[in-house]
Amino acid sequence: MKANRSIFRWLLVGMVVWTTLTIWSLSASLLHAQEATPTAAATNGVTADEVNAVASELWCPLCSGVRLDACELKACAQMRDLIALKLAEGEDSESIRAYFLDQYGPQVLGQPPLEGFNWLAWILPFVVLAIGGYFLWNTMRRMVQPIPATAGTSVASTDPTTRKTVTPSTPEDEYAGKLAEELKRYG
Amino acid sequence: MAELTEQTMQAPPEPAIADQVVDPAQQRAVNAWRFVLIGVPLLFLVFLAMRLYQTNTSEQRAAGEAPPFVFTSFDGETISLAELRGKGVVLNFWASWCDPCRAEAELLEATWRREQDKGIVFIGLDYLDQEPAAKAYLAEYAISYANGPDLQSGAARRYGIKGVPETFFIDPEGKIAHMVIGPIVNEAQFAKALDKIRP
Repeated sequence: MKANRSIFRWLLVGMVVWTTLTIWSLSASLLHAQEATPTAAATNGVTADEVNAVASELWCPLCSGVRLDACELKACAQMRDLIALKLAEGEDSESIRAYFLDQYGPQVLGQPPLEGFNWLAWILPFVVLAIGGYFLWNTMRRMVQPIPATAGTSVASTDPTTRKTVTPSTPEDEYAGKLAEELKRYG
Repeated sequence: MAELTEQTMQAPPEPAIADQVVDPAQQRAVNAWRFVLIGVPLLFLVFLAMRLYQTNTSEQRAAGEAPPFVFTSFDGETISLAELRGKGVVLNFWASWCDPCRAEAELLEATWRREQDKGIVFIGLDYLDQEPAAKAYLAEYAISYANGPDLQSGAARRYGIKGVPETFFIDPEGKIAHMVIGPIVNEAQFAKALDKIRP
């Protein structure tokens, strides 16, 4: 009992530390995004927020899992400068996205394009969900449906007084049946 | 065991027989669950192994026959490797944000100026770069050989580069004769590599 309580306590401490670290790292990455001030943006009258709004929709093609607005690489800074330049030229975020896709490939979009093997990544979760849901539904339906008298062999028991096979329809009946059977077995 | 025999003896005959007959619906359910629990993870593992194998082979640096590529230079000229048969090709992957690339930029341009009349072609493919910065880089080092963006890193993937700079020396028969990973540091190293691809 004492050991159990100390394990529980350590688990709680671990969870608190983990939550703190997660919040801290999230806020750190948010801060980075806010600090990112492209030099070209200032000269073109485009604000850093406008640049970051576009950049946050794109992913650094040189990193893995880093958004362009939070990336500290020199290449990313140059990419943000390019976004600022294009915004100043009057391009909208959609055409900038298209340009980035054309230049650097689908990895800047952060999601696999719908082609070839990638379809599996899009479909598989839903297929698994459907199959899992079907089995769950089927199993639950079988669990709640009343057991037919002919098939209920494993649950059916013998009533000691009447020597007849009874099929329990309610939990109370089932319990009574089991009790009777076990009482009989142990004398 | 004794209990069990007692139980079977006391149980009425009908349920005992029914116990041994397997319900087909139940058997179907068991089979389906067996497929889900064993088949699906197995299928997943097979797919994973397949993909890992593919990734592994595609991540090797190119060797032997030089993978073909076509690119449009910053000047608007379309260049295909296939059309350069009979010439030695120096294919350099670079980027304006790459500091080690700057270390070899001057040597590359100087060597190109010396070798361009001797059947050697220099090509610069700009890897994951930004056009304004790339053009500024080319102007800074007065680079005059053909340079253009490697769109969607198509050539970079085919050549299996791990970073920039990387330089491939392709002989007149279109075979990769030599490669330098990282910047080319001196003329002697460059000359030795060029000797392998002279027509």
